[in-house]
Amino acid sequence: MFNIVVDPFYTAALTLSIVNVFGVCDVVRAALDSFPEQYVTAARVSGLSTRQTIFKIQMPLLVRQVLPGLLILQVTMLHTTLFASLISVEEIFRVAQRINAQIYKPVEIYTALGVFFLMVCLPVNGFAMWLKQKYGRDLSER
Amino acid sequence: MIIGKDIHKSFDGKEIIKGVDIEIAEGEITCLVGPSGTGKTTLLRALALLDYPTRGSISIDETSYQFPLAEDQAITPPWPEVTVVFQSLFLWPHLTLRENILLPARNIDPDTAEDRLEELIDTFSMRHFIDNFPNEASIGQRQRVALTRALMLKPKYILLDEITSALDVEQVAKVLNYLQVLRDQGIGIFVITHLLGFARRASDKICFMADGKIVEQGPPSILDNPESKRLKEFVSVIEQAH
Repeated sequence: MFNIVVDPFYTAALTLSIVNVFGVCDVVRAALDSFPEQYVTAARVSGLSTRQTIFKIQMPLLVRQVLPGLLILQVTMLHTTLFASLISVEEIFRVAQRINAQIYKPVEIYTALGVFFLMVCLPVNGFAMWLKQKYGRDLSER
Repeated sequence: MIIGKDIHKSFDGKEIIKGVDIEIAEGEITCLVGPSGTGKTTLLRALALLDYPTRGSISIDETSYQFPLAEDQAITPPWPEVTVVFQSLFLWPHLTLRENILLPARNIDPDTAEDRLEELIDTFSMRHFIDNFPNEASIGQRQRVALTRALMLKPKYILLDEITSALDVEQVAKVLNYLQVLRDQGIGIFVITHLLGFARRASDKICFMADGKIVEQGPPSILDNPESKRLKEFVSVIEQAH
């Protein structure tokens, strides 16, 4: 319409970044909204400074709370990159489509694509599980 | 001395505290007793300046505040000289019980905090669970830790909200003895409790609160010879229940 041509890669990167930014904001906002204010009150009456309250009480609890949501969001974003092929970005799904159009071996090509995704996602998943084990101890009182 | 005069507190237009006068003196144990839902915790939070009264005045030693505050007036936080142990305890769940105590205590006295904690661990028999996390401890154990966390701050006044509710008789006796030691050291202690026996034995002054007002106050003997009908009813119901 404005006779401006933007590289599809930058268009996709910008769009996905915006979606990701809003997703991260939402996860962090939800964690902040539901943060138990009583822990801050306990810090105040115990004479902790604002800095100590933020770094020793609020941040560790918030990180534990947002971590699972953030990791799920990042894996979802990884899947969403496939949509970039719709605007002709040379991402892996589009490359697979092009190769398939030339040699027509869909089973082999898409299996290789699946294996590639597993190779990327499994370490992320492993990292998520490691983080969960390290920081995700159940803190609820019984 | 903490002096509250004509304290009123409303939430959403509903008046919870209706003109309370109360004093917490240094070197004294003041017990506040009364039925549930009469505004005892609200009063405690107001006296600790955690929630401001709707009307009235609160003085902590030489500092006095008239509520509602003037627009340009700010509160100087009295904590941890005035500290609170809440009924729900509010231990930080990601820290061990030891860390819960030492984190604020190191601000007050970094050199001797750990030695003082070792003494209190023995006093309140906490050795076998002190390195657990709060969710691995029983409510009684958490109450002892929350009390220890407050005591380690060397407060001038300590306000305690139902801190003996989950303790067994032996632990209640230990807490009572320790509060008396603190009182003798000159600390002003304010205790909300439902345990009339505890109030009788521990306190120098008892305030009975009902329907948002202090109905009767005086020495512990007021529990044996109540003047007001409301306190008579309360004592009789509690003693029948035991």
